[in-house]
Amino acid sequence: MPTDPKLTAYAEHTQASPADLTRLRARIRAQRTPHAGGLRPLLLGGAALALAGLLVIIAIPATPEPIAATFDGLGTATATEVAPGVLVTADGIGDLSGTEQAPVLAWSAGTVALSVEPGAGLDVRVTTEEALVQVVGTVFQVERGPLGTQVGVTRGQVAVTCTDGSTHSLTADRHATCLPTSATGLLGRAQALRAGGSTAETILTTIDRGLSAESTSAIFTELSALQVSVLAEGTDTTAAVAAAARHLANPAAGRRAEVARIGATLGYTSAGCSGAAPFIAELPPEEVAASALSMCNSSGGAAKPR
Amino acid sequence: MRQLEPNADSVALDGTNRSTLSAQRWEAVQRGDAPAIDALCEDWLPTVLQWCRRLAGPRIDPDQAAQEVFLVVLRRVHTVQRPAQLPSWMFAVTRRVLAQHRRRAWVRRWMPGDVPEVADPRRSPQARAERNELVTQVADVLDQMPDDLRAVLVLCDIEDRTDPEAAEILDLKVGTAKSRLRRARARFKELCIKNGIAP
Repeated sequence: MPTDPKLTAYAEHTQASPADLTRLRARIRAQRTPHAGGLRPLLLGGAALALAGLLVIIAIPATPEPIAATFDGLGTATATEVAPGVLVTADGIGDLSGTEQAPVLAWSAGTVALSVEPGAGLDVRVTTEEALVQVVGTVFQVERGPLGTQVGVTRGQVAVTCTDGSTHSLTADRHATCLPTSATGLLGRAQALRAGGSTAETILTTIDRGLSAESTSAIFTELSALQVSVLAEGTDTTAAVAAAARHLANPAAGRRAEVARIGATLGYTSAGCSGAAPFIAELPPEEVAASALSMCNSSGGAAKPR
Repeated sequence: MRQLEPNADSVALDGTNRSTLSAQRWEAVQRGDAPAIDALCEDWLPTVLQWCRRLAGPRIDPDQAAQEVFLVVLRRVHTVQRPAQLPSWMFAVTRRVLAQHRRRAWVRRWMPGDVPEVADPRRSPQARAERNELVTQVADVLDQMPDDLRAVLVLCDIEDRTDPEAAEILDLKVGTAKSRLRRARARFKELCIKNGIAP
């Protein structure tokens, strides 16, 4: 984190949140073009398509009509009949694929309500990172937010399979929540729990699960730095200092100065210069010189503050 | 607890998240392997979006710019020769895309007739209400800084990178990056005073 408070405020304001990244991901997915791999694959692909088309015309007279649509409208609910008997009211981000008989909606963020005509032989599925929702004929809603995916049923019956392995069979007026399992999802949940005032224990449990999951170093950095911040706000200074040390021991972790600042402050408070020493090297020398930590540099003193 | 540790055969790729990429994965990227390129894009999403927000300037939609950066990445990343060149290449692509957006924004200002002005999302009433006055003032000051100075200030003083990291991304010698950072800080301070923000 920058040392200038003006730049700190600006850095925080311009930081990319998980919701921003989800939105950007959806926009890229909607616009991307296939990677150019030369002329040969194109010719082969074209020939294969032509052959497949011929086979379809000759051998399969009635194939289901494919459908495709992209929803990219957080904050604006729009109702669309995506296939005969399937009404989708979307307020968020998602991609529709599959066929008219078996639509598949991959939902990324926000709320979507579906009304499926019963008895029409439709196999409608909604997938999120945390859940697979299957339905035959009913009215239900799927809401995907930082805390996870919540499924509610208005009429009929819905089968929900969460990615953590749990299954739920929901009838009218019942709902189920599938928790995130990916590191990114768990980071979003931890941040949402913190913003919602949840207990440190709940937040730390979520962070621990996130740190155990496969992730990029950017997500690891965010989770680990959040763990240090949450612990620092509590009473267990030793645990916070240990978490800061673990963070900095990982060469791939970012936010080093910010974490070192917390570690140095808590280390100094609890054990004086010897407590702050492991973190001082990660701080800008001018910052150390301008703070109480400067005495640790000059005298190497181990005086514990009163 | 999982620790991300660079492997012996891996190379540091990214100044912000200090991510690493195995030689095997880099070969897959160079072959144009779609999942490998997708994974690489995923690693760079936050960094590029933040660069776009911090370097964009007025009347530019940073989300739109970030989206265009990744469309370039998806098409061209396999042309990058060495993984060590990736951070500077990624930054150069971002700056080029932002320069195009700036040119378009400039042209729009002078086009006669009914060409609609693109709203600056950072200046919408809702966005203004959400951000405090200080953040707005800092953004205005950054918009007044020359492009080169702004870039080094963003990398070092906002994103907390070291001088060597910034030099690598900007494709400069470390000494040049350091002196540019000194000038950027001085200019930022001067503009803060001029704009009535306490230094």
